[in-house]
Amino acid sequence: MLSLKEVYERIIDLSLKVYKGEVDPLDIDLADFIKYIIEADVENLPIDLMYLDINALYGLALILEAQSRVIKEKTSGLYIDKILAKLNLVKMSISELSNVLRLSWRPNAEASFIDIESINRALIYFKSRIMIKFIPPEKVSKEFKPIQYYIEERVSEHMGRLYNELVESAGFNWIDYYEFIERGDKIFRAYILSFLITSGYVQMKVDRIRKKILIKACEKPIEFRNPVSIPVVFRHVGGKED
Amino acid sequence: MSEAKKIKLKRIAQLLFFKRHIYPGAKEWELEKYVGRNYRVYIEEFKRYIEPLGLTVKEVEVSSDDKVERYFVVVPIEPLPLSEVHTFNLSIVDLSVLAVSLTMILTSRNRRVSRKEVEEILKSKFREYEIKRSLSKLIRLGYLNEVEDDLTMGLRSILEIDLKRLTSSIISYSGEPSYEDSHGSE
Repeated sequence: MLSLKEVYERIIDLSLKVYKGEVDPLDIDLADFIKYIIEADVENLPIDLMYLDINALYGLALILEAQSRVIKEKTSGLYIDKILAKLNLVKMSISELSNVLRLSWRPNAEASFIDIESINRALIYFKSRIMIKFIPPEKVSKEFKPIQYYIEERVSEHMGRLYNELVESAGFNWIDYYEFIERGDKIFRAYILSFLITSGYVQMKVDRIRKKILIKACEKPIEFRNPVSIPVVFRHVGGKED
Repeated sequence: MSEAKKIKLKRIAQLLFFKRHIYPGAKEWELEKYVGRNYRVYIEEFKRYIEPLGLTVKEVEVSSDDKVERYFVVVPIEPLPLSEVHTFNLSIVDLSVLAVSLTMILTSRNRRVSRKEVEEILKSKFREYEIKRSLSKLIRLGYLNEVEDDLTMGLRSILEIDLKRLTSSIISYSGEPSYEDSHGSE
């Protein structure tokens, strides 16, 4: 005979499995579990069992919701056989798949607009901006020379050297980006580091609260799920670092 | 037409056409607030105006957590020609990825499917970077949601896609082009 605690834990575990899709909700006979919960003397339950009782009741509600959804789907014709669907998805060509979606797709119609209030706000903002000093293009070319690096060795060798330096100095912990690149030729180190970040050997994150950019060496190259570009700005005047 | 009726129809047009929130169209409570409890009468009247333009108002019930919300959106009556679909910033790759993802979600027990499982099927058709880029785009546009390591259906998919038609087209696929397929993609 199971104790009340064990019954509660079983119900909670089962509801989690239903929630994750590991168990078919229609395989569960809710009446059996409800009988146990009704029989419990709630008023005299110790606090830990009371807590489990609430969670178990919530779990039963989740199972009931999942059951009603599955029944609704089966009756509305939305229930489809997973194996057959998978087989057809693999068989169908790219154009067939896109065509199937297009025929069942009705994009919502939207109108874009800008109101007079927004235009006024934009105008006030624009006027409040301080004018940036205008530098004629011919002067620009004299003041700012393009940064060029002729790397004789293979980039991978530089990457390896910089990676080892990062591991030696910080291990596999987060370190300030600027602090690291300023230890030598700033632009060159930033340039090589960008390759390490893109190839997944180094992780980069922007701490918006502390306004810092942090980097960390990875033991194994990480795989990007949703890759993003992070522009990093630093000052470099007249070929001399500033 | 009375002046009051004209104002209410204008309000419906503003609510349904001009996007003011993350979600498209308007929720039921907004229509009740700005048009009145009998908003359905005006929705029907509004439909009569937009139907000659090839548009209609679609009503969708979406249940999230513990509440059910009703959305109203303006959608085309007929499917769009493939050439026009491109103007919506979705490529053929995106459409195929969405078709596969939605079918996988619909066949799952709890309306959520592991992202890895979807990527496995897609790998037979696309390169890895195409899959990742397309999934990111569909998540960003609200057609798919990413919960932990699983994919779920985004609000825009529920509002804009006839899921019954999508699944029945995939299940009934025989390898031969149907009349609709060959005549609907001009």
